[in-house]
Amino acid sequence: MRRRFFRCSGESYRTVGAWSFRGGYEEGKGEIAVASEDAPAGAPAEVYGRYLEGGRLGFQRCRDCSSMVFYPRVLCPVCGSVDLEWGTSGGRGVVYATTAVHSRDGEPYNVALVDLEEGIRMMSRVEGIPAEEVEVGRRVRFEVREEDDGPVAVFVPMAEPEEPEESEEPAR
Amino acid sequence: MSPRGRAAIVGVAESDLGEVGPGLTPLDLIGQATFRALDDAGLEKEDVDGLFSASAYYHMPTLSMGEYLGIRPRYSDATSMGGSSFVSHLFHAAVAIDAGLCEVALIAYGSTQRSSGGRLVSGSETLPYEAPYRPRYPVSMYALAASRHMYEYGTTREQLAEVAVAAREWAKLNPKAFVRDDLSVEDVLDSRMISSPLSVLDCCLVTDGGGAVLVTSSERARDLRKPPVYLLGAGEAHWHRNISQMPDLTVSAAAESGPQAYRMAKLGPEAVNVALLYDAFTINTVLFLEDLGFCEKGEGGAFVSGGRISPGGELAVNTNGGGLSYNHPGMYGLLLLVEAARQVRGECGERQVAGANVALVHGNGGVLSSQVSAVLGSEETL
Repeated sequence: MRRRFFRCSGESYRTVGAWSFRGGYEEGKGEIAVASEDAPAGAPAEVYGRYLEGGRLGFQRCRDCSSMVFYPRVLCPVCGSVDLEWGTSGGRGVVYATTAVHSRDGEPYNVALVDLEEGIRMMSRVEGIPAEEVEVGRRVRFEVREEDDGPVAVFVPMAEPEEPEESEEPAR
Repeated sequence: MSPRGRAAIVGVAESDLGEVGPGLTPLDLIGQATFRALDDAGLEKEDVDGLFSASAYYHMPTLSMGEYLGIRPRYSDATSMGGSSFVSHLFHAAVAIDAGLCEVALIAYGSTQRSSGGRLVSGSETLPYEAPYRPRYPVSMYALAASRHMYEYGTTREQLAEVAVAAREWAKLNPKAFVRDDLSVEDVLDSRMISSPLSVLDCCLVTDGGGAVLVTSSERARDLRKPPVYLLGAGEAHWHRNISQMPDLTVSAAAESGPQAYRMAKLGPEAVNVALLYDAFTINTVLFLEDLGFCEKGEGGAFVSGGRISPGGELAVNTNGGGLSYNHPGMYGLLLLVEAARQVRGECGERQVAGANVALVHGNGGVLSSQVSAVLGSEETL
């Protein structure tokens, strides 16, 4: 198989098919998770989940072709490289598509595809306004909700016009 | 060598349709349809040496089918790409026959989803990253695509409703259609919302049903009971499985499968007399008319309006009444082939399109995911 070296924080780490990214992020220090040799192995979905537990939205970037990758994988779906690094999103996005799901019992709930500023698209939901009022093009911001099965990434509308810049910066 | 015109559909049949009642199994419906298709073709069961199927009921559908029917095939293909699978099977069967791997292919399908619960029976898994948001599979995914098309091109719910109304007008001409009563744009708009902007009448039926299609070489086809319906061209493409991974929700992979099929067939959309487009939801017809070259991208809403795809309109689309009004037994692709073959043979009675020498069949699977196009033609198109 193809072998590559990660080049994160000056360290090199050879991959032989298993993932060895540390499932976390450096608080207040950059947005890219660091791969290190003593890190516990983490499958892509596990790393994503650990970011969410920390209140962050993790995604991958291909170090070979610079493609943003979501959902998380072991190789880049654009160029095939296994040299992926993790980053976290600044959390700002725009609704790409939206639907309000109706059921016979209960209020309609929203399901949306959100385009994040970093260039990834994900399924999520927009909360804070009625499901039917979520519109394509609406600017939204990432938040985490604790649910029975664990933390979930959701979005809330951003004030329009945009609020003054806050501390969060988009990754990379 | 191009597969153009080298294999033909020689027998088609539906199983019992609509609501078959408790007791019958999907394999029973496959058995019914196979028996009828063999009779249609003038073939015997012993002639069949290739089996093709996909199923939400049987994990190994060609094995189950072979055992039930008492057929030991020398070629077997259970390609599973959702509702489009059966159009793909036609393509694969033609190539296999041309390569000498089998001589008579049986493509068959059955579902009892209406009698056994009234909801879509699906083996589709949910992407773990998306399960928490509880999209209603598959309607919410199509609703997302509709919302984007409306945003980019100003497509309206009224225009989507026109698709359902046109399908109903065709269904009124088809005695086998499941629903044949009057339907207006207002009826669609006023019907119960499922996943906005799609209401229940923007969604396909949930019926029982199945069908069978027999395919053989063009040489052998000419000696059989009915006029051969030749496969002139086919193309298949898929770009995603999950809707979040679809590059542009207003452009399906039909924009690739269609041109492939046209190139092989050596004709274009202007030559198509009847178009059978997989209408699981009203937005499908709009997207596929655009992607298959019947109108420009974004113009599908206008194209379907004002009765232009209804009986007597500019283009005959979904002449059986479609998945919206005829039957939609979980996966609908096989029934597209049945109607296309009958149109090319001129067997469609009141709904027959005059001079239907070229039929375009377009199958869709997953959530606008797999797209398979096939061009069928009569003897004079060879």
